[in-house]
Amino acid sequence: MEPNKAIKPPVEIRYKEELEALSALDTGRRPLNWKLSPKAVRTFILGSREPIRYNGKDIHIRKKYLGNDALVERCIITLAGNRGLMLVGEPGTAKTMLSELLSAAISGSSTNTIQGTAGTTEDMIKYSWNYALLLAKGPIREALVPSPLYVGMEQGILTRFEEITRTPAEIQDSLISVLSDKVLNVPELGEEGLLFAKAGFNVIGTANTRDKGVNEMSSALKRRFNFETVLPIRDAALEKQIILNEVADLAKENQIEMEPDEDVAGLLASTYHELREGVSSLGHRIDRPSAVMSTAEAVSVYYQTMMTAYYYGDSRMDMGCLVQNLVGAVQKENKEDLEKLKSYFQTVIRDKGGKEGGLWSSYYEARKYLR
Amino acid sequence: MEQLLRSQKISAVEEETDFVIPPELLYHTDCRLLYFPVRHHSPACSFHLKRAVAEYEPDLILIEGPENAGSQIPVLLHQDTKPPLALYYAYRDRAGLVTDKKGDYKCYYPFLDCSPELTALREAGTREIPARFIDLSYGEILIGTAGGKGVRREGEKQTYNDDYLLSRSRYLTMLCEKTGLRDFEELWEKYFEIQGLTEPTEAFVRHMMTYCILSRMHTPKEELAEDGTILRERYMAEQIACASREYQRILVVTGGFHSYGLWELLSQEENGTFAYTGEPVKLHRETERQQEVYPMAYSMEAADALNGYASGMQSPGFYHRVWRNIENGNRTKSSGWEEEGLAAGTGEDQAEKRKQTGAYEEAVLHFLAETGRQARRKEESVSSYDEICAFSMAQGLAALRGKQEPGIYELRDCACSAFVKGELNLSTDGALRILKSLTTGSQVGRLCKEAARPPLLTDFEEQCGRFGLKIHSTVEQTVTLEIFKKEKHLQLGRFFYRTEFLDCSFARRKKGADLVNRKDQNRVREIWNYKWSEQVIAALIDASISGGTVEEAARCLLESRFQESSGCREAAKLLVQGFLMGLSQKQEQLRVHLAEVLAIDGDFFSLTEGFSQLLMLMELQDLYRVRDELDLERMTDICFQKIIQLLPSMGQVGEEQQQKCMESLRLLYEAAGRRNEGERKPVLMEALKSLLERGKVQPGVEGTVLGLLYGYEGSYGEVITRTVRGYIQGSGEILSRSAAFLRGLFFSARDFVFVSKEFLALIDELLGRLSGEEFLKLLPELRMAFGYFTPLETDRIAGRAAALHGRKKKELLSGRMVSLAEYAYGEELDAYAAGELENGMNRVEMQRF
Repeated sequence: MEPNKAIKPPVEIRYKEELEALSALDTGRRPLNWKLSPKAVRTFILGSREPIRYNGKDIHIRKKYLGNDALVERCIITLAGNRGLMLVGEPGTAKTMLSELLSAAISGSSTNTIQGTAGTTEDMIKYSWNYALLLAKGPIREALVPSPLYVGMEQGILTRFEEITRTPAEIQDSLISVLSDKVLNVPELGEEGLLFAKAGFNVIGTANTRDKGVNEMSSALKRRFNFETVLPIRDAALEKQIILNEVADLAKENQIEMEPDEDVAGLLASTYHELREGVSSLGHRIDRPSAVMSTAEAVSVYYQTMMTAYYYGDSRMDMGCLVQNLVGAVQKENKEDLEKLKSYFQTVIRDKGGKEGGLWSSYYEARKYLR
Repeated sequence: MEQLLRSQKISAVEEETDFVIPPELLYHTDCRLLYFPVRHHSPACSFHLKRAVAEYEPDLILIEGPENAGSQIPVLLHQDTKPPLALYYAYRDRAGLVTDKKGDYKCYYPFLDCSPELTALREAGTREIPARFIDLSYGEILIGTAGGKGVRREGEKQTYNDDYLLSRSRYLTMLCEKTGLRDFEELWEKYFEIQGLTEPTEAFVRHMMTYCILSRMHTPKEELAEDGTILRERYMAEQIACASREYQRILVVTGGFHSYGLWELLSQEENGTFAYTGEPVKLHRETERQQEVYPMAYSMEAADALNGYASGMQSPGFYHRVWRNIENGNRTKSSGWEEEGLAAGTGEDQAEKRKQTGAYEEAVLHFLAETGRQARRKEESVSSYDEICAFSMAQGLAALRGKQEPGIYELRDCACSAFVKGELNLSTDGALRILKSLTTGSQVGRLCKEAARPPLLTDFEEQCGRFGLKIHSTVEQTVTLEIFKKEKHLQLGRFFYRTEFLDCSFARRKKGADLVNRKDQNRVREIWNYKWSEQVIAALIDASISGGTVEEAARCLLESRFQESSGCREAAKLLVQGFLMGLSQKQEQLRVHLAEVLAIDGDFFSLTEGFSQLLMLMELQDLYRVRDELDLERMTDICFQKIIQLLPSMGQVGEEQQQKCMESLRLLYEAAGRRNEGERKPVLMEALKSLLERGKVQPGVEGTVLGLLYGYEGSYGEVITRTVRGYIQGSGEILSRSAAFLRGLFFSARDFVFVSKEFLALIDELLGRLSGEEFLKLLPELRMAFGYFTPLETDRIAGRAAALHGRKKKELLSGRMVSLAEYAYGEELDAYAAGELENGMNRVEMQRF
């Protein structure tokens, strides 16, 4: 795949150089079929302070997942064990990103993925048939269309199952026997129909806890997973850093030659942080909007504003445009959320503008777009 | 410093820099003075200390600890004494040397089985060599510490431990960042507790010294002076120098942070003794008489740093288990060292190594299995397979994090991953809560009989003996007291109230008059439950700072709380408590303060409540056999005058205070009515009238006041009727306030409904005038208004209301008779619906097939 043509190239392509360097210099013990040792996987995701020297070049391993380091370590060890890994939490807490990073580092591929929806069926999880071939040649392996789960078992790589709780409970349950016995039976293939999972196979699931339209997982399936709850970022400075990193990546991928503005990122991180926590840094109590105030949303608001500035403006972040995008992100399901945002501006942003002036004042002045 | 921290391991820090530890601070067994650095409650420090004592063979052990506890060492070493224990220090600053406030201070010095200080004492005991505490006495430390620092930190239970010195430096923050560890505790566990166990003592001491000296270098000197560290070190160095003239081989066991400070203050003379090079420490003679120290049984829970009121290690239950494993040489079979070649060495060293490795792994396994067992008992879904997965994960995490064995952090992490099913929240973290309480531990210490006891405790036990209370059983006992009949019961009741006031969880009143909250005042007997426990003893030792007897301690506490009280309500409540405790004598101070409180309190509600309480005390004096020394008569007069001044303005209180105001007015009326001479009632009535005259009165308050005036002067009936009519005939807004007025009226004079013939008709008219919507709006207030009537009264009102509409009371309760034809039609409808449903179901089934 050519990196410049895809909107979002997969992790293993984006960080190809880092992965190669880590793999070449990795001396740690590797579980069977893992591309990297658990220690190198940790370094890939959590970064290293010093650059590593590879092919005559200094390669900086950047910290890609900001938040809870211990959680990442637990995820790696879980994947080396007998149970699947289930990442649960509110939307926008980087669950998918973490699962992509883990898959790319461990199996070299983050694309072996089942996208869970309300319409997901059992054949999408296990296998289906190429009916033309099936009719022509009968049930042979060639006619079988393997699912990502099948591929994972066959090749000994990780299978990602996105949004597992959107899938109906009875469909989710088809994973139970695969996860416990590590074998998939294809009765149509007769004696050759038993697919034993190769070492290195495991499943990473992600599930939202706050969205509407999710199905509860059965206890039997829960027992086959180790659960990790990914919490929203509690530190505004860290959230700002995430916004800056993500936006810089997006800009680079889409050839937008504009440096992210640290102050604007700080302002947006502070807004999202305060609206999510319900209390401002000055001590105001705030009504929390019912919409999801995730870091991913903040990144998207920033990036939209950045694109507007790049294509239509003078490459400077415009507060009015930022506020308009913010309204779009907050006002989704509930009309009251806009009122809450208005009152947030009338109290917190007003006081901050009065106290700190500059950017905060122009942010406050842009409140006219709150409608 | 950045360069200095490039290394991933402590051991490498010193190798990469020109940093040199003074040779005197390294581990040598051929010196006159051996500094041994420790951290409180650390099993690894205890382990190496034991070794050091065996190798160095000292003839004196000096330990960091307030010297005035020296007399308690035999108690700590007694065979019947079992940790967790604490030395309890109390200091009364009567001379105002700490602050002008002349306050009381207390702190704890906890010892667990794995505490190095206790290990040092025990080793000295076994070898029959002397051991001494060498720090300043508690009082002197307090005097030498700035406000809010060191032992004078506020907002937590004070402990003597000063481990915070190790865990707060900038050096540590950088080190944690560098090593990828979460905090000081994880860093400490990885490098000192787990790794330290497998190191030779020489290396362990060197690493400790490196860490502690670097921490010290990154702590500003001003901070060390403010929190008393410098002063304490000067005194400890003096003590060491003094001892060196008498002993040849001295082992100095102090917090690692102090070793360097002590070394700087001592220089070795030609004859081998040590001279103190610092400024002499001046002691205050007054402190000796004002301080006490007692040993007390402590609990693991209190010793857990995670509970926020103790410094020292977190999860003491976990480290206790590790210490036991180290002592017993336990190991798990799963580690398989033989295969990994760890057992390839020979001789004692290897055997020792095998003994140490596995202590943590076994503890992790033990706590996982125990958590699973307890979780299953509480119907949490944790299976044996979950435990297996968790254990394997703990091992994996330890390997990933470069730890020799999994420790408490891996234990918590693996339980979090394997035991929580679903999103982590209150409903799913049951197993984690069990694990937390297990790793905290539940052991409670025990003291030998010879242990010194504060006089308060002796007095408590004497009194229990005098009253025949069973205090050597932990089973709850019940006693019934006839306090007005029997003098002894009255005295026992007072004793119970005193222990309750001292907050020692000994006795609890189950039934009986509750004068403080003004409930059940008609009860003549009191039923008390009491239960003796270790916690009672601990709480009494805690309270012993206030006095030598239960009575004295309760009086002292009452007086100090009374001095802090700011309002009449609070002061009167404390007086009632003092009254119940039989502490009404010698109350000159209280009287003066009460007069001051009354003078400054301007809160009508607080004054009313206080007034009512004071009157109650006056009335009950004879019954409770208490002599008034507070001059209650005068105090109530002052109180009443203030209330009368404030009362006329109470008509304009906010709506949210309306109910409170109504209650206060009724309370005042009842209180004023109690007095026989009838002097206060007319004054009160005048004040109520002027309240009404001011106009714009809240309707609820207006109703209450009119009801009270009606009770005093029957002629007010007419005014009430007129006012009600005014409300009913008023415009929309006024009409809507009528229900609140009725509520106020019924609150103070509900009998008016039955006395006045016209009144019910008026209410009937009101209800008739209301539209459906208005009625629904008023309904909540109306419900409350009529809620003041008893069921019998409601019945009478209903009867009269029915009569107004030409009906009889009985007719209200019965409805129209249902004819047989109607019944038959109903049944037919029912059968039809059931049949249709059945047919529908069948059709659906058919379609499915």
